[in-house]
Amino acid sequence: MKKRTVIILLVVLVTGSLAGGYWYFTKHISQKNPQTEEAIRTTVRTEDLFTLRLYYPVHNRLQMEERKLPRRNKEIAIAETIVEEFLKGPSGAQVSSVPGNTRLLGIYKDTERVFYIELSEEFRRNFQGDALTEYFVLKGLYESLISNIPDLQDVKVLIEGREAETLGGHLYLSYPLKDMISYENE
Amino acid sequence: MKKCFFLFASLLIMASTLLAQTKPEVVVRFSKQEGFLRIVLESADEAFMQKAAVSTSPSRIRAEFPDSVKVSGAQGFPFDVASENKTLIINLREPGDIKFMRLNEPPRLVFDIKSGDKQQPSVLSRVFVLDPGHGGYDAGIIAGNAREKDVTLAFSRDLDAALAKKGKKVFLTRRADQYMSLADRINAGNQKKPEIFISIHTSAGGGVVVYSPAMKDYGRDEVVDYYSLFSRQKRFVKKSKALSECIGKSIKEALQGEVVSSELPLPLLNAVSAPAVLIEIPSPGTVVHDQQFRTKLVNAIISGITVYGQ
Repeated sequence: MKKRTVIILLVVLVTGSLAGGYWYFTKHISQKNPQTEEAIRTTVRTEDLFTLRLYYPVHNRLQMEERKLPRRNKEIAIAETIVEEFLKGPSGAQVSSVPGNTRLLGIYKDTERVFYIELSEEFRRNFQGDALTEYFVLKGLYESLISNIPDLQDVKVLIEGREAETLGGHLYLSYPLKDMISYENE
Repeated sequence: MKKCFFLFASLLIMASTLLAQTKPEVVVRFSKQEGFLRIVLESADEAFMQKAAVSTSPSRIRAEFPDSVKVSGAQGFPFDVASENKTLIINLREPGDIKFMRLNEPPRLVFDIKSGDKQQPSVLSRVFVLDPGHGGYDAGIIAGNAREKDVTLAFSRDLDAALAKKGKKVFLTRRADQYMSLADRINAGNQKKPEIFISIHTSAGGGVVVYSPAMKDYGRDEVVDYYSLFSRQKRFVKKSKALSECIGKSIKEALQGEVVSSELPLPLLNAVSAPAVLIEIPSPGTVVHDQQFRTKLVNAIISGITVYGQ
């Protein structure tokens, strides 16, 4: 009789310990570490990021900056992301040569893979700079697009849907940019 | 006895006539022309002047006349004149390159002395187009109360006045606060067929930048190039670069500041049919644009153009 009681007690103790352990791990520990699921979700999101290379005019030269952003698959969507990020200016810089408050109004491409970047009037109105600054703003925009969309052929900037002759009175906007900005200065 | 007296009297009369005959007069005149000094020796006797033997050295002119001369002329010559019997010597205070001409009506010996002094520049080019950047709604760089469009116009007027004083023909692409497209500026510039085209802008910093055109060699057909708007500068690229370097060097000497001569594919310069540069002067936000500064800069640019012309 004593032996039987001891066995029953051991079974109850083991079962109780397992149930208690299960309860503790499922309820208590999982509540204490709610990040676990978040961490899993983050890992999934990291896999969906892509890296953009942006070129900004800094002290009369172009400086490359990388940004990780949610992946875009369509070419126009990638181009839109590039231009929107470019217009934000370089990270951490208090002063930027990129004209402030400029909005991207649209991007189109023709059959020859020339990308038409339609920007708001602020791009021209808020530009403050000399000839070299203007050159590097346009070169930065072009390089940012071509380095992320390699088979792009050329870039043409439109202001409020129309052709504008110049950005800041030194260089043409009325022609695609490649010929003008592909000159390598010292 | 009577005969002897008559002979003596005749000899006396002849001798007194010879003695009474005046020495030929040579008048010395001078004038300061642009970049050289002109000295003229003038006489009424054509044969006398024709027979004069002239020799020159960088600091001396020597004229040997067939007879004794009497030298006259206004005082205060910027050279020293000495004469002894048949010889007239002019000692120059500064050596120079002497060009000699023998001219008639009136008979005269002309000496043009080109000074080696760089303080009296001679701008060889005659027709200039100055292009004050921006204008109208395009204000350019704004630094405090100063707008680039006003600064470029004021400075272009200063440069215009200084060049006009030297007898040069100067055209400005704009004389008022009005917007002009790049195409308008190119047309205005080319219509005047200038020998030098200068566009004036301000730099974002405190330095001076002198740009010359940069053109890619596409290896295109020469006929296409000739008619292409963008290739009009092609024939002048080397001259534009030389002009840019001369002006840059001159400004650097005058201001003792940061001056950069560089190339940039600026459509305005690339489409002008003349040696062309774009000068960015310091912004009024970084340098005070008082009369002294502007005069110094204007003189430096003219001096650079002069060196380029030589």
